[in-house]
Amino acid sequence: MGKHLPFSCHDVELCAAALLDGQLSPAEEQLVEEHLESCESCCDLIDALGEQQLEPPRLQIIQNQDYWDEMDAVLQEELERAEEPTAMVTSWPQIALYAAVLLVTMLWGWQQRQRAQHLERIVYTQQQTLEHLERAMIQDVPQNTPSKTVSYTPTKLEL
Amino acid sequence: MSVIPIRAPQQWSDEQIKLTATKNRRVAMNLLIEKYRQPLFRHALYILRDQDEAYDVVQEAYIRAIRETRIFEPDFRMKAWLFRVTKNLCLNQVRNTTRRAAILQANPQPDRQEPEQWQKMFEGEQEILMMETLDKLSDDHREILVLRYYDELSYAEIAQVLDIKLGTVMSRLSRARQSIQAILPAAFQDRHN
Repeated sequence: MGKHLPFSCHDVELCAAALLDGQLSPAEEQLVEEHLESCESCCDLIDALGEQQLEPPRLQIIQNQDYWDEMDAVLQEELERAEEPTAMVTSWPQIALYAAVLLVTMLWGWQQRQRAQHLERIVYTQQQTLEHLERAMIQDVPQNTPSKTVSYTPTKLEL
Repeated sequence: MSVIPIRAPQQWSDEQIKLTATKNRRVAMNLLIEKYRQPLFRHALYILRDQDEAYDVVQEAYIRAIRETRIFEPDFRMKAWLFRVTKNLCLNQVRNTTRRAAILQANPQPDRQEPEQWQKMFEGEQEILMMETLDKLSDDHREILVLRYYDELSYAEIAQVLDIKLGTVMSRLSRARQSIQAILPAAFQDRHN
């Protein structure tokens, strides 16, 4: 077991596959090598893993050349469909129609807006006139008018 | 004018296929189909253990590839994408099968462990023995071993397919190799003898 090594046995275990597959950086590889020089158990582990045979197994079922025929037919059909030009949604008469509809909608919207603004102005003017009249009426009422006390003496009913 | 491949599709690099796509997308797509069909089919078989289902899944994965507009873009990782789509389709299939089996109150995976299934699909005793050994591993370990050593994906591609970090790929792969080491038959350990 190595002492004061930057890579512990646990680290080596975690990167064993990467070491065997040549996926470690030169610096990491150097650290692992340093550890392996002084650690027999890690050396044994790497050796054992290195001797594993992990080649892809041969498939029996796809030896026939015509095995993929059905899939090919479906995929070629799909490829043809993908190559077909998209339906002419953007043909000139359609573009003109869309533009006309858009223009009419915009004009209608603009007209409605003008109308609303006009009505708003009328309401505002009327409101102003009303306020003005109210103010004038208040001014017409005489200020500090002595209040008359109305006395009422019930008369006796003479029967 | 269409580009005629002068060598086997398996020998074409992804970059060469992308370059072909700039001239003729259909030829490039056919190359892509030819190049990855067997690895994808094998990968689907590992998960589904059903030849017909694996066939359908690969077909569906390619249909999605044909419809994917970015597939031949320079930064697009075609291989990882194809494997991820295949894997996800397989998992959906497994889920559907399990749900169906649950409804029928039957064993969710009735024929998953039958050795005859492997005998129909793989050549030779060694292959069958290897598949049976892989079956004893956890799903995570089996999957990463298959992706790396059978499908020959790079660590970066595995990270993308499994949606995990590169460091996790390294550690999981090491653990998987240690797990299989304990149960690997002698025939698969005497490479150098």
